[in-house]
Amino acid sequence: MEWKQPDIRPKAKGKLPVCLCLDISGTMEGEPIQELNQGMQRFLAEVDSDLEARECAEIAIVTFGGSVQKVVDFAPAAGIKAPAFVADGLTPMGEAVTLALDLLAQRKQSYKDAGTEYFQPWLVLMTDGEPTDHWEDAARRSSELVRAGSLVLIPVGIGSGANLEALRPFSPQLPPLRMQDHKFNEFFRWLPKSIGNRSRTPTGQGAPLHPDIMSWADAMIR
Amino acid sequence: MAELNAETGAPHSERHTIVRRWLVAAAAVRGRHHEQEGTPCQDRVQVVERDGVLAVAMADGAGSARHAEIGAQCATDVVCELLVSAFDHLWCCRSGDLPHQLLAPLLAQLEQSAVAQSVHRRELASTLLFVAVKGRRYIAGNLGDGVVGCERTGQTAVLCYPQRGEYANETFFVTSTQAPQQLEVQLGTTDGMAAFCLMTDGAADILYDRRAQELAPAVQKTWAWLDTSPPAAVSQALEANLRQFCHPTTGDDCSLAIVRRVAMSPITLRTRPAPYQRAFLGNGTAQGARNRLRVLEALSPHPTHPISIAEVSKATGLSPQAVRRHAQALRRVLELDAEPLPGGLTPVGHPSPLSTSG
Repeated sequence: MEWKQPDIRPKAKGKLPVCLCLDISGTMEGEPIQELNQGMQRFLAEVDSDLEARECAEIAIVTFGGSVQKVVDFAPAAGIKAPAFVADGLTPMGEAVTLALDLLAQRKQSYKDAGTEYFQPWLVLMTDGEPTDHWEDAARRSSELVRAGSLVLIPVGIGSGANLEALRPFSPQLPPLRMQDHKFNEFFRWLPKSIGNRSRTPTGQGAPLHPDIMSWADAMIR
Repeated sequence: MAELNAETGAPHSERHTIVRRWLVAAAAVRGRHHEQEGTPCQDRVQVVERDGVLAVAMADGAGSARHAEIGAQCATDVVCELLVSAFDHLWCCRSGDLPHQLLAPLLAQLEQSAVAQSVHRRELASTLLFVAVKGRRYIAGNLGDGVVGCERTGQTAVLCYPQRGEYANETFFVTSTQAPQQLEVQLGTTDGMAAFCLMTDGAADILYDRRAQELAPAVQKTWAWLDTSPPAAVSQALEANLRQFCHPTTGDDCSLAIVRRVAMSPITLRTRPAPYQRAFLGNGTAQGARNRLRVLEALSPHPTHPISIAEVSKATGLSPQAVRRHAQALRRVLELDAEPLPGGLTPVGHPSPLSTSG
């Protein structure tokens, strides 16, 4: 009484698009940008070694520091070679979030067109300061998506200088999280676990976060 | 069409008698995620056979609910009990009332469990699938991302399709506000039905082709296992196969239940191993099953005239009381009656209860 491989129909893995939207403005210069670069390498390695995250995650990276750049287009972690970021310029966070949302929407559409199952897109927004451009439209758009259950947004303030209130308008559900100083490694270890933890939820709810969140975050600001 | 002897419940048939019996095998396997986390399997399968009703219910606890395994157990317990005790009532309900009739008692019980656990009811969220058969009728249902399938007139078919949201991890649960609208209930006759299957989404990941929206070929092959192997052995085989094939594909808990209408002559039944005979005849002891098989054989091979309890007693060496007890039990577990269908439905082309063949 054994099944044979040709008699079963293993489903194709669902995809989870993750866009990292990273602040590399001038204030990140020095130790923060070094730690971000190291953390990014760790993140890609961790995603690749996490069985669940590796199967589903496709990662893109958008940076904002002076200008907004799509540094990496959606790809599995193993195929990404992240460049070393250089801190410079102001903090055009509104423009960066707009680009990130556009990229996530395009990626979702490509899954639809191909008949590939997919999970709620993730946007990880990290900043050590506050936006220096017009951010209101981008915040409104991300908030609507989050409320509709169509986006998981992780707002992270880097270190004690980040203005968490500036992140709040982008994230109507999950309060901004302050990364304790020098906890990039912990954050980038935690993120793949949360990506891999795709428990089923009632329709219209966001994804649950991995409980190890306190390994890197201060208490959530309600 | 053979008729039943009024005294013994046995048919009058001309030649070899074929008897039919619904058998069930089921397994729930803890998924890789829960194994890694050391958390329990949140799938539950329940089977209840009583008063001429066979009910199978399955529930897949929501990963996002803290006590999903408690909720899933509650859902299967309540729904099986309801299907067994109120089958005729449910069958006669207007279709629009059925979801409420099924969900209201379940939600009430979940509320009690939630109070006992000091949690909100949503922490007990689960999906729900079920099949119940009584005589010539079945009730099947699905709420969530599981699949209910069947084999009818030799063809596999999906009875209830999975219900999902836009995203791969979204579905509906018994505690969802949309549950009454989402609970799909199917009523029908078992005419031409050879099997049912129920599977949670973890098992559906390998046994249901989502693009073609059809069951995988493995399902049809699996049904046939119950023709020759006892349900306990088939259940073990299901567990082993789910472990072997689901684990590499999905991290989710996986459950599968197969419900097979087995048809065979007492002569064939005698060639089956003792555990199979016990399951088929609904008698747990080896001696009891042997005696019951002798009664069945005495009742069925060539009774062109009504056979009395005294004659069966004489043929089997069993006391008249024992013969009567076995005959009544056979009536309960085997498909014997071409029972009339409520609601004005007339049996059409139904095979005779202990029909003749050849």
